[in-house]
Amino acid sequence: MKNNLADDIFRTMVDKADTAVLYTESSEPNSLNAKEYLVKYANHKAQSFFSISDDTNENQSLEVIVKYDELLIMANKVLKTEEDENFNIIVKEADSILNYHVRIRLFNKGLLFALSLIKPKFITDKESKLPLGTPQSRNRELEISNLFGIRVLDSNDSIICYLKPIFNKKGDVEDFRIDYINNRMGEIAKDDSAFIEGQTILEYYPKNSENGVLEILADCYTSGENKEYTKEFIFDKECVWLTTKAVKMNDGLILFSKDVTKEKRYEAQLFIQNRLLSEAEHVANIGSFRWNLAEDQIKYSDNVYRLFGYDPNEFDNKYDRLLTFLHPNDFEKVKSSFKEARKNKSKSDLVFRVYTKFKELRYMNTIGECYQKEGNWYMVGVIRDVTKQIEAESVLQIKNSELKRTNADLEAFNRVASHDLQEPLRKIQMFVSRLDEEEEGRLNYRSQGYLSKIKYSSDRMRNLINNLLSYSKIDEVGEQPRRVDLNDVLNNVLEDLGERINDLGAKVESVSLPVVNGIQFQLEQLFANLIGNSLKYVNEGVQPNIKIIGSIVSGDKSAVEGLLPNINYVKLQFIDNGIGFEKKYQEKIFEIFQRLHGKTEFSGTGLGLSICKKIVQSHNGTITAKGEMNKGAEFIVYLPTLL
Amino acid sequence: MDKLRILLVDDDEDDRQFFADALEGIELNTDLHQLENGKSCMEYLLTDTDNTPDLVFLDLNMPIMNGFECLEAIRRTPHLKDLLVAIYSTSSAERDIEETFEKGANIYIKKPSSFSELKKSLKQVVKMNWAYHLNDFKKENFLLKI
Repeated sequence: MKNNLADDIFRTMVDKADTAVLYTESSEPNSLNAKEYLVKYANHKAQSFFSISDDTNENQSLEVIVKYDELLIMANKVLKTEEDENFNIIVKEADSILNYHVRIRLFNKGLLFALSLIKPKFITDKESKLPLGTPQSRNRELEISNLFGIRVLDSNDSIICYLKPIFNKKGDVEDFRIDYINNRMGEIAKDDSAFIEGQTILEYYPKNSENGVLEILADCYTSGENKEYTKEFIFDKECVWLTTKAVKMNDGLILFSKDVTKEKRYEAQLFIQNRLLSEAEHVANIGSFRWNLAEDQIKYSDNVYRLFGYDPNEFDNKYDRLLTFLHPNDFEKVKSSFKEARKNKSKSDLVFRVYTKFKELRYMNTIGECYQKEGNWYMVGVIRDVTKQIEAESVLQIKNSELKRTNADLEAFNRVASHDLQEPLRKIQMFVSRLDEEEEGRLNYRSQGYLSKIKYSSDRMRNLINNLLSYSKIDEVGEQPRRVDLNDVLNNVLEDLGERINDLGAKVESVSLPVVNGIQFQLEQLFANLIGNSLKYVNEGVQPNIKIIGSIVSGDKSAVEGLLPNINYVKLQFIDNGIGFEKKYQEKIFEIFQRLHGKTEFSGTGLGLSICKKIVQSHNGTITAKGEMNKGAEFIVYLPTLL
Repeated sequence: MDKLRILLVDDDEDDRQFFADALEGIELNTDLHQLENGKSCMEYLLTDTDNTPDLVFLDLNMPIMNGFECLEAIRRTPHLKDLLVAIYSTSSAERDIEETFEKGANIYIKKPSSFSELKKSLKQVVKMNWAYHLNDFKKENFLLKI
């Protein structure tokens, strides 16, 4: 009776094992030719591996069923040496390449084959060096040691155990006794199998009542239905995940458990990574996709759906569905681009317009690259909402064209100012000068006065036009900056102003000035305007005194707005003892057409200091002013030193 | 001494009048012919080759054919390539001055804003010993900006 039961258990276990088990015997006793061996037993896995059907399996010879010579050669070796053989073979099944671990040994009167699939992803040293069945005849209750199975059971990757139910007074299952457990469990739990056997599942692992295992197993026993579950166990402080299949057999349960801890860890890691990716996509406003090019199905990340205004998985993931979002004018472009990428497995990078769920027009940018995996071509890539960038670009484009127009306007103004405005003015001046020449002494006193007022006004207008022109010309890219010796600049300007300096009896003092990088004629204009101002705004009855001082300061120590740290500047001070100005005007005086004095008091166009400021700025410098009423003014210019 | 033959090409009637008056005012022996644009200037220079002037004053901004085009046409014509050409324009733009010198102008006179200045400039140009300068100066030293 017991042996029959054991036979049944064993047959069930072996039949359902993940390992292909094939037992063969020779028709000729002690034949050394493996080809002559006939199939006596093949479990499900073996039947599918060797392509043998159930009804014929006991008649076929190895010669017929074995497709791989390597197996026959090794089997012959076993027959000859009577030593076990362990080796790996790589076989091609359908489209995949598979790696099997094969064990061949003599058993009873025949040859026993066991082939187990090695999953390359999870292979470890421990697993690959898994010992073959070490026969330990510890199995007391189930006397199956006479069966070849113990080797198979113990060498199986799975934990296999047989449980017998324990009933309470009401007749309900309240626990299970562990009748048999193979040594795989011992390896995982670091307990000896012999220690485990004989205990109940609650004695051995009390938490089985809380984690639902007892409930599932009781249900399996009562209903007779197969159950499968994955649970976490703690053995010796280490977390182990087991996937268990429970099958009712006779008055007990057979459990096949697999250690899936690594898979679970990968799963957990993957889960975290996916969450991170999903978060990142959300923040970056991007989505990602993976497209099996053979299948027309695109796997999207959740954020892709959100980019299109949908909830995750809300729309169909077929390629054709994607096309329905497109703006009609981009339809052909996208279609042909993807067609091209699919055909040539090339990189795809394109921008197109889509309508979201809420009929909003958005610009999307997809970048996809193709790669091959297990014989299939995939495109993986990202989708980015680039609406903001595109809009910003177009705003920039509009601004640029506006700027171009403004520049063109400015150029037209320059032309008008330099020629068209000057032309009639010159004629007025010409006629006035002729009138003056021809009617000299003949005009009455008042008319003579009118004439000189016309002359004065037209002179002012000419000045104004010339200054406006030079103001607008400062930015023109013409001359390249060169080394300019500021002493030369000062000398040229003093020479030009010599007559006025002499007339005023002004005193000009200066020290030796440094060399800067700049445009000489502009710097001359700067000096001329500043010194010219000092000669213009003089205190009556005081000898004009102008000091020009040059020194080097560093940008960060000068505490002047607009100067860069880490750069040295040439500091130029133009100090006079003229009429000065009120402190509240020290910013205002640089503004265009700003005049602090009445036109009649002092001549000027109101552009001189604006020109100075523009020249200094185009030299990457700064200009400031200090003044005190009737005491004097000081203008300070900072220009970057030569690097 | 023969009269110095001067051709003035300018579309502005007032300016032509100023010019003629100023030339008269400097009391030198000159003969002035006036034309209104580059096209009539070229027609004059190409048909009446016996009367080729000694000096041409050329305005830049003119209708039909402007001063730049006219200058180019003059320098393209073999018997006119050594003709003395003075540009006489309102423009003081650096690039206009450069361009006319590149195209072969000899002198650049900015139209002055007073009559006495105009007389001074014309006197300077007309009284210049051209023969002497033409023989002894290289072209690049020969440019004059007034």
